[in-house]
Amino acid sequence: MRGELYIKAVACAALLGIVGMGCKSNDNAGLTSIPSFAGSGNNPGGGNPNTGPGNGNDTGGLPGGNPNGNGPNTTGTDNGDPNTPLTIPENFQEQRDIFERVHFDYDSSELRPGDKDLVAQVAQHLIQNPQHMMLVEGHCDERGTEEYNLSLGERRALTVAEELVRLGVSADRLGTQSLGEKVPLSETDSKAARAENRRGEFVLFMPMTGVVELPQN
Amino acid sequence: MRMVWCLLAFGVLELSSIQLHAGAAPAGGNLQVVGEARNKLIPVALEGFTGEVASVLKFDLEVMGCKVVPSADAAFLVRGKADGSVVGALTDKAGNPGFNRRYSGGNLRDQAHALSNDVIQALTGLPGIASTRVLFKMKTGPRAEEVFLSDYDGHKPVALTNDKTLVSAPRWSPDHSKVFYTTWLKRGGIENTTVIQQNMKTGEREVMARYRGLNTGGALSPQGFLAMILSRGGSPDVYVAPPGWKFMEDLKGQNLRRMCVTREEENGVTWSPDGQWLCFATRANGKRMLVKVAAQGGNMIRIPTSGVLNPSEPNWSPDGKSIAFTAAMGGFNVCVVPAQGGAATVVAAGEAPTWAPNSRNLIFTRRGVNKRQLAIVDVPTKQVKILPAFVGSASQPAWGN
Repeated sequence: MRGELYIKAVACAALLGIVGMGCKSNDNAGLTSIPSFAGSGNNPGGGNPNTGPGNGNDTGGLPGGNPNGNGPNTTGTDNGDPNTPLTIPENFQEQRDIFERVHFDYDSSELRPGDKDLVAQVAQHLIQNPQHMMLVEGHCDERGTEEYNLSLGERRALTVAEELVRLGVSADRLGTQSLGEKVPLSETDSKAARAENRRGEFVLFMPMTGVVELPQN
Repeated sequence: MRMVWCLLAFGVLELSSIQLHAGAAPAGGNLQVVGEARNKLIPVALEGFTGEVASVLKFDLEVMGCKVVPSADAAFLVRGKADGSVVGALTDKAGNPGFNRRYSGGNLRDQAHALSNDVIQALTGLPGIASTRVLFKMKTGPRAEEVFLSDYDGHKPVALTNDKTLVSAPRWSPDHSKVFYTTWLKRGGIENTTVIQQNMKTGEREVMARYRGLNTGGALSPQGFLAMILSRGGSPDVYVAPPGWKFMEDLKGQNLRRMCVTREEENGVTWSPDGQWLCFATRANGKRMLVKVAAQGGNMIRIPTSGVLNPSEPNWSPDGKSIAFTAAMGGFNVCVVPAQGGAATVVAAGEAPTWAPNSRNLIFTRRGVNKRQLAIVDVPTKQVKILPAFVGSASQPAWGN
């Protein structure tokens, strides 16, 4: 009950825009404006929008091809509306250092068993603070090529997001973003530095003045 | 920026239209020519040139498979001067004349590039690439990169973007009228990668994809199909948009065709020059590999790259015969494989290769201690020329025309 009141208070604050300074979008004159995507509708289908028959006559096909142009989504992830980027209200602030980072083995996007508790803490927070939103960032060390690392970083972020969804967080509050090898924590050329750079970061978005529900110990 | 671009184009045009042929000797008269199929460096001597013109000629000719040597060791001689404009005469060792020309228009660098092209054309019958340009990205701050355009040798760099954010994978459209790249520009409080198309003449920009998650790798086919890597389906996969498709009119992506369905990290989409095949890097059964898919959809077919490991960043040659890519085996190696697959050849230490219009040279990235630099390799001879360093770290070059 108490928690519910807090949430309502926070939600009201958000709605009324009591706190000024929103994060200003970095508008660029030359760029075709992107629609606000406000009210990101939930389109849970997430199905494959492909049309048209494929050419299934090729030999030597590999698993994972899409010869019919409409195969199932083998990831088994309901990522909310897969089309609409997460949209952060103007009066929300970004909190980057609340949650501990998770780390990955070289060339891997598998969640380490020891990091599952960290993800569980994030999930608990998001479940207890339903207006909060989360961007999961995926980062790589510099041993892959740039284009490979960009896709690998996304794969890492998606693996973390999948775990959050599995733990009960609604997918439409989650976004993923790969930074590839672009934003290393350490630029030292050492094994330890590379291990530190292969990471997932949790970027929390919450109302400017807010009350954060903490776990009741 | 736009102004600079126009001036540049005008200068090059001017150069080719006002070019004078002062010499009386008919080109190719008795010159002993080398021909197209050559995998040995052609020894060429330069006489009479000094300063910038001499260094441009040396760089150009060595990029295109020559070795600049003393006159006594040369099979061919380029003799000339730069007295306000560049004059150059080509002869072979026996003194047989090739051509004798005076160049005008542009600046001395442009004229020297034109002379280099004429030398290569006369010696091999193939057009030179010394007057081409390249796109690349350059780091301009702690969390800022911009797309740049420069002469192919790295001179006269001009920023095409001024967004002060991260960018990735600049690519030309097949007709070079547009470029595609990935930006991390913030919208709606969030960066969310976005594929941008930018018109080279007008500077006008259009959002080509901004779905949730990863949007990158924009590559246009000659028929106008746009391939991209998107993670909207739950994992990075290759999608193709039909000609004339507008992201703003298809925000749900209903007309996108998904070309593969995997949990793996597809990357580096490149079209065959006839637009019939799409090649990219993926992983199957734990092994990273290059695959191709027919433009109309179909199974992924492996392109074997025997002899090397972990291929990524494929780039199909303009003549359709070869695919260049990066192999990651401890360090990075630029490799070339026949387009149908086979034994891969390591041609240089480096990564992210893209082909020159001559299907012979590759421009690529080489990592230094604190900076990434661009370099060019002449594939048949494996001769590497490093481009002069820029202010910031430069990478992901894309060779234009």
